[in-house]
Amino acid sequence: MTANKSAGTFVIQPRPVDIWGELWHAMAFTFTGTGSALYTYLVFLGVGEARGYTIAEFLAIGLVFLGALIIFALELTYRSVFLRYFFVNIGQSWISRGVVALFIFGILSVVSVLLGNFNPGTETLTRTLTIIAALAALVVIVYPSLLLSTTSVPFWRSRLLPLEFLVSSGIGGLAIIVLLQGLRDVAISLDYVLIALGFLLAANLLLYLIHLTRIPIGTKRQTIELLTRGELRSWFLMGFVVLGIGIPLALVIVSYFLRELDRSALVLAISLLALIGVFSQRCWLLRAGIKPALL
Amino acid sequence: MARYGMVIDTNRCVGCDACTLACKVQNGTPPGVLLARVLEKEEGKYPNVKRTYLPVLCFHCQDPACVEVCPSKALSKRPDGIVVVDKDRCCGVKACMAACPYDALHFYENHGGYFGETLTPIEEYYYRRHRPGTVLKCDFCSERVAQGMVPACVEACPVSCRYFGDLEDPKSHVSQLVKKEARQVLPEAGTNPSVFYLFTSGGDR
Repeated sequence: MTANKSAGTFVIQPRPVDIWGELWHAMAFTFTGTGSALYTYLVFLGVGEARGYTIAEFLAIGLVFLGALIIFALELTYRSVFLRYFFVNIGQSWISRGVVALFIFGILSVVSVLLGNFNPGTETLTRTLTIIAALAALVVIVYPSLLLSTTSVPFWRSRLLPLEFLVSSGIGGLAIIVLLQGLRDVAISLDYVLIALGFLLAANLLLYLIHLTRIPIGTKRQTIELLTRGELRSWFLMGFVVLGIGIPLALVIVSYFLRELDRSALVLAISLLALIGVFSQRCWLLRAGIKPALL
Repeated sequence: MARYGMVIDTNRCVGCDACTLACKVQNGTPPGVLLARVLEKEEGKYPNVKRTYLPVLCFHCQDPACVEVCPSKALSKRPDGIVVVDKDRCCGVKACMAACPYDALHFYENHGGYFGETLTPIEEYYYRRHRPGTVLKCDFCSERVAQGMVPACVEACPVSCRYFGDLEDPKSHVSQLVKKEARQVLPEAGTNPSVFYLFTSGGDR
């Protein structure tokens, strides 16, 4: 019986899921989500059109590529097998759908940049390709949440999860726009961006408050304890709630009343803290999975 | 077509792990991989304590979550209800391990054998069947079943707490037990497992 206890997996009680708990998982999903959201803003809100293809667009595509590369390099044991078969279960698997969306995004976004820069006169085609790429980017944002929701973890099997991924990726994308606005690379009013960022930060906090109150009874106590008193306390309370939402939200409100003054430092702090919040959220969320007890 | 399933009587299980050993011998699984395990739960305080044993294996669900998440269709359900893994298609994503409510899939990381890096002749013979970096799972000893035998864990159980058979056959012992009193664990997971349990007296010890 001693061997059973030391193995730690021979118990009927709720068990943590540590499959996606590495830091690089959180990094990869932060990069793909933030990059995709940034690209979507550039395409649908037209914030990148003032100077043709901008640093913002290259950054958006680069972030998605980097995130995808991290997953591809570190997650898979047999990459050639994956490349041969990843699309065969597209009817059921959110991994397959996500990877297909990543491929569509990767190819179309690069082709549209090349067409736009080197082949003037193809505006309609370029615009069509960017819109399809942006739609694929939306799938890239939500597919990890839909994958999580197919697992046996009650906390992840929430209908709110895709919305939470959309909102947090949206925060990441806006935080980068705020940073780039300082470099005068995006054509949009800083006040609008800050108001939108403040709204998304508040919405993100609200979504998680609702989500945490709706965890099914079987693992609710364990999940809340893990986040507030357990090993994820720093990521959840400090990284996500305080640094990622509380302080930047307060600074957004302060910056609104100081809009006649130079707000460069304030704006820089808001965007960096918001990005820390997005990363922290991925960190604790991916580690907070607990499977229910069998009896 | 048959749909193979199992009924486990927890009232009889004494937690001896004979099923675990029989499975290891049959499948030649490496260290850290146990396709058949006996879970346990201790409750209460001395002198009012009780221990519950729950033998587990792959539950060969009718709606297996592992099959759904696998991007390369390495996992599939055979017409006879047995869920199998194709090691040549498994790329090591591990999503199936998160999806399974019963922790029935095990990742094989090659860390040598039971006596260090150098494998013993029997380990060398057995481990050739497995591919490091892929998942391993119980297949109801499909080679034995194909020959008309029962899975090794069923045969090895000294207290005969496991019953194996065709759940679709109304005359089989397992389907009669299922009809009468056996129940699924964690039915809320929605996978409709083919492994059932008897808890007539609460499974206490």
